[in-house]
Parts: sequence; structure tokens; C-alpha cells
Amino acid sequence: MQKPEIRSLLLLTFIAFTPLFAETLFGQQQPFPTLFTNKWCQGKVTDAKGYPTPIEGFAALWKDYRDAKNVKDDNKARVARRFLGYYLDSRQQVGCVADLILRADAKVVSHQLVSSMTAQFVTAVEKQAGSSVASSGTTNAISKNLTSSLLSLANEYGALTSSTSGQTTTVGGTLDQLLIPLERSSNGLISDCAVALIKNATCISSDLLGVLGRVSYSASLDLSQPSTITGSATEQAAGGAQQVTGTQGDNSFSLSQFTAKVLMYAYKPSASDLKAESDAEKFTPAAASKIKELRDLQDAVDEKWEVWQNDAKDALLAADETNIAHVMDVQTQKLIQLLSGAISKSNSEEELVSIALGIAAAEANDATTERTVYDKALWKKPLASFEYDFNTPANQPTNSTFRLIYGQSLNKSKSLKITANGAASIYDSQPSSSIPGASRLRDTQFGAEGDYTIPAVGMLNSSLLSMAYYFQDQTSPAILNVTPSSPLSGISFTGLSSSATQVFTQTGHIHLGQVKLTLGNSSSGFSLPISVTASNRTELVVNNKISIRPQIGISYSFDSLLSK
Amino acid sequence: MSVFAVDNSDPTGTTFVESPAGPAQLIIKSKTGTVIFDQTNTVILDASGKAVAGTSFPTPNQFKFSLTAGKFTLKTSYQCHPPNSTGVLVEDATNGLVFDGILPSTNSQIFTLKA
Repeated sequence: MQKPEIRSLLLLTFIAFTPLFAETLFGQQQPFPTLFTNKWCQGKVTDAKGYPTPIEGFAALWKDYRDAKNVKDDNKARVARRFLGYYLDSRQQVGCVADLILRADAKVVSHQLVSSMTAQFVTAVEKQAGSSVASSGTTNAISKNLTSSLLSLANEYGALTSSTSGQTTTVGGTLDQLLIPLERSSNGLISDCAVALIKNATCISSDLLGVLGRVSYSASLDLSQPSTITGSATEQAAGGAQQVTGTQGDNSFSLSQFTAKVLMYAYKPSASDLKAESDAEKFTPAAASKIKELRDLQDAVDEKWEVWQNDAKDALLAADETNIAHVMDVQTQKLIQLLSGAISKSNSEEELVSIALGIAAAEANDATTERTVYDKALWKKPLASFEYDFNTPANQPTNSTFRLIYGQSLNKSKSLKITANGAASIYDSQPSSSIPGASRLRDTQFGAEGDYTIPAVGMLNSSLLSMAYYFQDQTSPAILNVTPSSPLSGISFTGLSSSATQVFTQTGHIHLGQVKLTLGNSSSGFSLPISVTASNRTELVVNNKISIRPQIGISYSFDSLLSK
Repeated sequence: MSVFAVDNSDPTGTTFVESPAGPAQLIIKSKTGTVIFDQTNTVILDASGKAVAGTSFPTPNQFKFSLTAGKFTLKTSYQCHPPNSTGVLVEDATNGLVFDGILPSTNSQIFTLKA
């Protein structure tokens, strides 16, 4: 199926279901049936003691006020009343005020959502950054077939990262990031529950997203299989020439490696870590402009709004649990009338809902970026993680590796860090019995590395000295699948039987040590790694002596040219 | 050492009086997760709407400034990491005055300061 057809199909499906979806959710007014049991504008605070705190939530503050009045604690009652008023003030709790407006004007919300979501989704589906898939120099990670198109969309929204090396493209990210395209294109209708201002819309539990954020994946795809063009003649040959119609075959790719990693334990990122990651992400809350629109309306009717807020506080605090929901409805309608009056357009109420919806969408959008920042900061300092690698190397049996990784800074300045890991690798199927010593357990591995961040010397402010040791017990021979008539790239055999389909090497211990010095400058993105590696053998090549291999490289990040 | 008090003449409860005028510091005390200042959008404006000079952020959750006699507007902006984080904006002092709560949907706040 060609990609445009898929887009059209997605679009038509979306348009067909959206009105039904929105009407179902918002066809009726959403009052406050759960004002005292649910979490209208409530922080997740359970440890509030003594005097009220402003994030206890509306219901808790209302109860605090009444309790204080009962025991004649006027000071405590005054504090509760002040904080309760913040929930009705767009300069203090703009999300709560937007939430009030959206609850009260459910029908208008419904219609506006249908149109805005449709427009947004059209933009999202049609969006494809980079050059077209037809061009040989495309910068899109993957642009083939249905799955690839969706992956590409996810890539454009930052839901995954991708890198390409030769014919291999690697995509990866954390599981929660895969929801970003949905969140970004839904105008707040699908969001983290923490910022879900459109009630009864789909929200995803913050706790669930937190768990998903601790699972990362990485898939390497070999894109070397070329697509073929099939031509068929459409007319008779004339004078040695004939017209044909060409059909582009689907490109194909194969999975060369899949890695899943679960963060078992990590330090909670510090405020400084988060600030640094936020700066790296260039994050600035996008909701500011939408919020200003609502605050401008409040400013325009400032004195009347103050009277309303005072009256609303009195009415709400005088109400009891049986009629508080009704009182809130009445006060909300008055607020909407007041704010709508500051809008000069004839459809002022719809305009007000539009502003509130804009805030809901912008807040949801900001939340996805905040989550990305948190994920990245979290993954920077894993203490312990579990990794599963599914390997499908070319010309070798597939195998799986299970690895435990531990890393920790050893000193307060965090300049000295160690990382250690242990792993076991198995063949995914029982090796041929004709291979002596072959078993499902392919090998066991252990590795340790120490990294020391070298203090800045002149321009060299990002230098690292690393020492690493790696041990592998090759308990089962490494196996290569071969076809004698079609030799493997880079490997040649002599004396191989014409009937051989697999070759294998010797079992034994592999020891490898490496010392690496990386000299670098963080602002320019320049680094010069110099390493010396010594090993007794590899999986395929068995030496009778230690081989020592020096290496030197140059690395330069062109991103540094574009940053300030 | 200056301290803040609620200005009871403001019925909205969002005006705070510093006495005596001088240096002050606000801090975000995170309750769940981590809330930090969005530094590019946190500012103090004088009566003419001009940003007061000399403000700083000693840490990502602290905002330091100094007021002279007069009326000012404090505009704060926050980032919640992860997004369900909550906190309280407090005067950075022993038993410091609580300015307001920060919920995931709060985004930013506006206060009036008098000194």
C-alpha cells in the first residue's frame, strides 16, 4: 500500500470517529458531582497538617475553613479562605479557572474540539519533515510501509531518536515517549492526567507513564535490501523502442538487533540535573501566550472580577455538601458571563471556551516536554539496570543476551565513576549436534570500566581517562552460517567442504583490556580519543600471543556550530 | 532581615508587604517530584513595568531579589519534572510566609509586592 493511501485512511477514520467521541464525552454538561471526593485542582498532598496549604485542594480547604470556624480559629479560617480564592483566580491557578470554564460550557467545548482536533490531526499526519522518501538523500529515519510511516511520524514528534550508520538505522527511546504523537495532536484531549483540564477526556496516569519511562528500547534495522522496480510493457514495440509502466516494489528491512532496557534503580534527578536537561532541551513552557489571553480578560474586568471572587468565596463557604455543586455551577456561569463580556466578538462565549481549550492543549504539550526532560535526566544516572539484547547478526545464529549493569560515582565530585556488568548469552535455538561442545549457553561475560573526568587544562575542558577490562567465557563455539559457493563478506576459508553449511571456532576464555584517553572541548564539540587495546583472542580469531592494537580518532559535533 | 506579610487590604490575598525593604529570597519547596523556576519567565517588574535588576537564581528552586520602597509585580513561572510534581512557593526563611501552591497546571503566577 502506498503511503498517501495510508494517510487518507487514518485521516478518514479519525474524522469519522472524532465527532462521535467528542459528542459522547461532552454532549451533556459536566457538573461537579465529585467535588468532594475527586480531585478538582488538587495537589497530591497527603501530609498536610496544622494550617492549610494552598495545594490541599479545593475540598480540603473548604473543610479546613469550616473546621476553623467551628473552633473559632479566625486566623486559620482566613488562611483557608485566601488559598481557596486562588483557585478562582487566573493569575494564581490558571489551570483551575480554565477547567471551570470547560466544565460549564460542555456543548461549546464539544463542537470546538471536533474542528480543532480534525485540523490538528490533518497537519500531524501530513507532516513529514526532511526530504521525500523518494530522494536518495532522505533524512527521514524510515519511510517505508505502514509501520515505517508511523515510526517516521513518531520521529518527527520527538517520540524516538534515530541515527543512521551506513545501511543500518537505529531507532530508540523510552516507552512513554511513544505516546507523544497522540498527545501532541490531540489538543489536550489525550494527556497526562496531571494536567488533564478537559474532564472525562482520555488521560494517562502519571504513575503509569513513570513506569513506562523506565523502560527503553532500541532497534537496529538493516536497510540494505534494495527495492526493485518491475516494468511491464503497455504498448507494442515500435522501431526498437517500447513503452513500459514501472512499479516500485516495497523496500524491506531486517531487524539486526533489538535491545530492551529496564531501569531497576536510579538516583532521583536533582533540581540541577533537571535544569541542565531542560536547558539542553531548550524548554520554555508554551502555555504562556494562551494563559495571557485569559489573564487579559480578567484584567479587563478587574474590579468586577474582584467582587465576583469575593461573592463566590462567600457563597461557596456558606454552602453545605448537599448544595455546593449547585453553588459552584451558579458561580461558574457568572464568571463566564463576566469574562465573556470583556470579549468584543459576538460569539464571545465560544471565544472564551476557545481560550480555555488553548490553555488545556498548551499545558498538555508542556507536560510531554517536562516528561521528556525528566526521562533524560533519569537515564543519565542509572545505578542498576537490566538489559535484554536480541541479536540477529548476519550469517550467525540468532542469540539473546541478558545483562545486569551497575554504575556509580565513587566520589562526591562525581569525577570518578565505575560501571560493571555481567551477562549470559544463549543461542535462540539448539545448535546442531554435529558441532562438538555446542550448547544453548553461548557464553558468559563480565566487564568493568572506570572513568575519570580530568580537570580542565586550558581549552581541554572535557577530557576523560578510561580503563576497561572485559572477560568472556566462550562456553559454546561461535558459529557462522556459510554457503561455500557464496563466500561471506570479509571472510574467506580454505579447504572448506562443499557440503559445509556451518563453521565453528574454538571455545575458551577471551580477555580484553583497554586504556583510553579522550581529549575534548565541550563548547566546540571537538574530541580526540586515543586508545590502546590488548586481547588474547576474539570469538573468531584465536591468537597464540597477545595482540595490541592502538587507535586514534577525531570526533566533531556539528551541532556546536548551530548552538550559541 | 526583612519578612513578608499578607496585605489584608487586598481582598484577593495576592499582595504581600516586605518589611523592611531590602534583599529577599523565595524558594519552591517541592512536595511531590521536583518543581523548579522557569528562569526566563520569572521576573520582578517595577511600577513602570521595567524589570528590576540584580535578581538571581542561586539554585534552580531559589529566586533572589532586592526591593526598594515602592510597588512591584512578581511574575513567576515553573517547570514540573515529572509533570505531576507539586510544590509550594515560600519565603526562604524560618517559618517563611507561604505565597501560593504550585500544581501541575499552575504554569505561572502573578503577585503584587510592596516594600
